[in-house]
Amino acid sequence: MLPEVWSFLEIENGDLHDNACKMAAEARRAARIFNIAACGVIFGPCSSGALEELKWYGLHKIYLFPGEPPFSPEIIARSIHSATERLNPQFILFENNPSGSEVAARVAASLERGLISVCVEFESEDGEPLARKAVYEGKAHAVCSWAAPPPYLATIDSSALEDVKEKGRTEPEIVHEEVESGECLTGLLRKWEVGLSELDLSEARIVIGVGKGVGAEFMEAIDRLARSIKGVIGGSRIAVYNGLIPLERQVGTTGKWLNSDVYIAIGISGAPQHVMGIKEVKNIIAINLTKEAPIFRYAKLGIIGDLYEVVPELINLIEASSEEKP
Amino acid sequence: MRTVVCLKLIADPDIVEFDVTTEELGNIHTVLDPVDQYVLEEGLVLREKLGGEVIAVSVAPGAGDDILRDALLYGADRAIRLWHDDLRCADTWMVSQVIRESLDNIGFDLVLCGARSRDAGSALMVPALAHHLNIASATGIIDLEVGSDRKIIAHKKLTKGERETYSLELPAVLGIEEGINEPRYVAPFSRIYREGLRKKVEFLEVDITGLKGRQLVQNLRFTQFRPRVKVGIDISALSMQEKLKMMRGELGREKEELFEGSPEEAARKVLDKLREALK
Repeated sequence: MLPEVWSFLEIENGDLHDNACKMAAEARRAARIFNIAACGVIFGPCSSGALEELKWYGLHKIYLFPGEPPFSPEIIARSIHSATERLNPQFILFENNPSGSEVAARVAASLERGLISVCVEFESEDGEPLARKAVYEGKAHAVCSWAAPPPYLATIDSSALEDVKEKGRTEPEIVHEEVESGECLTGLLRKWEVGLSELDLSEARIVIGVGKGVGAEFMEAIDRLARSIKGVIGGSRIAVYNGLIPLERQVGTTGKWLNSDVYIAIGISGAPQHVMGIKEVKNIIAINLTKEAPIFRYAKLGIIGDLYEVVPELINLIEASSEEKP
Repeated sequence: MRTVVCLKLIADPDIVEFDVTTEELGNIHTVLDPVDQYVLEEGLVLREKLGGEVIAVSVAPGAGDDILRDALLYGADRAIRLWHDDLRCADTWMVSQVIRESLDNIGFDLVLCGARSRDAGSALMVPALAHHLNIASATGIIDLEVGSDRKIIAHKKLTKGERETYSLELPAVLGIEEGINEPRYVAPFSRIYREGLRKKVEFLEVDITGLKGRQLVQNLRFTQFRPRVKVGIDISALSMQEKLKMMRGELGREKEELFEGSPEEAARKVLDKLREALK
């Protein structure tokens, strides 16, 4: 039997979390490099749709830890620890986000095994597994090796992850495991979300950017748009000068650096200082009157048109479709 | 209440760079890890609220005296530097054991660390210390309340505005996130500053033979930054221009779509794109 690489797949309300698919692909990639079998580790109830989607990633086994979420990191780490002692995986991978890295660190500490964090790539040198990790926030890479025996633990840099599906579907074997119970030193009281009005720009999922093209009288409509799509309003420096947004909502080199899924640039031409702040955004949608606006070079979708016509139309559409849904 | 704050000495992250000729990190100017300013401040704030003392601890070579002296000037009661020459290439696990040994001698109610250092960023210190000491821990803390009944309520920052709230009891180890407070400014020759000038940084030679610690992770070498080669791309077949694009992470990016038409159609397109992006 091949040794295994485990990948911790996060679940949110029964569905796969943002990067869970990418972590499954990462397990497959590591499995290919070291010639071992890829496996997934899932905590909490998992919908059949999620399991169906995971079939595209060539996983060999999926370890399911059922139970009532939310799990505290301590419980997850303890469960992985005891499963590890029984099943002896070769690698355990986590995504480098706050919850993933905490679980990874707790597992590493309790197993007394090596953890290499913020890995960008795995290599194999003379049969020894090596990991390449970013230090000083990516100014250089360090090549590290695990000095302790397996399991080798690692957290993977989110920006290195990619969603690569296999050519065909495979049927992973589902293994049910037990969640460890017992007294915790740290109790998880509750999970909650910060309200939209207090949410920091760098944490928001959807950001609406306003620029010179937007007049003060139009901000009411922008507010309505933001509320209907649960977005946060930011903007360029001109918008701050015009008093449309407060200074801490400025996006760009002298303001906030975004990391959101969607950025809707409304009436922004795209000065380099502003574009620097949005280069990590996954989808940029730009609405601008001028065809030559530099922002269109960075946008996934560019709308050449009058924002005073497009935005009200967009609000109508969204409000109409949200009424349909329930 | 006795609070121990762990400070880390790192190369200034703003100016450090990889030196291609020597294949080592160059332009190293040691400073206090930026997150540890918040750690020290949180210790001082807790002392103001609950009384007790703040002790700064750092595992660092001689240059570490500077950051510890600064901690004294900011108002820490004691500052202790721990070092042994064999610790130069130590990993987090070794360092956590060194701190643990010293904590036994110092005594503590609460230990504060940075959640994630700016250089290696392994975020391992808090769970490792909690494991050695067998006490409660939480990391990534953005908001903290310590009651007089030795109970702690701590809020952890996750991504995208999500938060988790933990309850734990002293003694505990906490990992502090940047932005939990506003580090103070201590005016030169103010009362606190002058009192700090009178204190001395203590030095403890660490006895490593007693530590069971082998290294768990070994740092072999430093190399230049290089983004991961995406699946299905053959580097040797790329032109120079495409290679540069790859370095910037732009290769294989979808072609942008420009749309010009009636507002209704445009709005429909934006909505479709939004749905697709959030799926």
